Amino acid sequence: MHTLTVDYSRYLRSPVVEVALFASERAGLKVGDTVLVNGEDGIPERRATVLSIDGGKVKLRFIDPVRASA
Amino acid sequence: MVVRLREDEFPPDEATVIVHLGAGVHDNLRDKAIRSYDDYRGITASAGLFVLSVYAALKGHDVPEIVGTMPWNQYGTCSVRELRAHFELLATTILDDDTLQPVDPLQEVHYDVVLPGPEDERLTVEGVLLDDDLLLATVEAWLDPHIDMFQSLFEPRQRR
Repeated sequence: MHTLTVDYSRYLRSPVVEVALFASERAGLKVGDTVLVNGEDGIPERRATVLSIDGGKVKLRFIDPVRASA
Repeated sequence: MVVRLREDEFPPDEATVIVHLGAGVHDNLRDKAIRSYDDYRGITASAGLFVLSVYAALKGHDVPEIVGTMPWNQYGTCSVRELRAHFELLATTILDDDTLQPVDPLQEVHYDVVLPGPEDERLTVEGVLLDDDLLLATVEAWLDPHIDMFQSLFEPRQRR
């Protein structure tokens, strides 16, 4: 399963986000895949579904809610 | 994601600005700035912008509320005055492109810190930066000292 990084500082609690991914992060990624998303401290903590891939942009819908770190 | 510039908004010098300073902060900040580049094409006159997302304690939003809203363990603060001495600050609202509504009420105090970018013709082509390892290495080396400066303004890290 792919693990991706999302800038929560920018997207806050949005259930759907479109993120820019480096080429190495997009390699092998397909629409419909379930991915793990890192929290702000780099620890994978949420699942998301890949809705679309458009060039370097990948749209994700979160399956799990955001987890407060404290 | 749609970025809207709040063009006539200038936060006061004494306002406190808050940023996430988690694990691996330098590389995280640099990656965030690079990922933002294409999203900020057309926001100002430049091709794109290397920006970092911050929030200001303004308009009834205080530091505890902002930090409590974020999934952050650690954060840093500095004043608008200190930040503006080194970087440009843009008032920006991030909109959900499906609804064109702000993704959270805190967006009314969201700002982007603009890092100076290198002059490189390759950056004029959208989508190239994330796919070109040589260009990426050039940009990372360019941004490193600016990230160091940005990070130093917000240190020491605080735990919530």
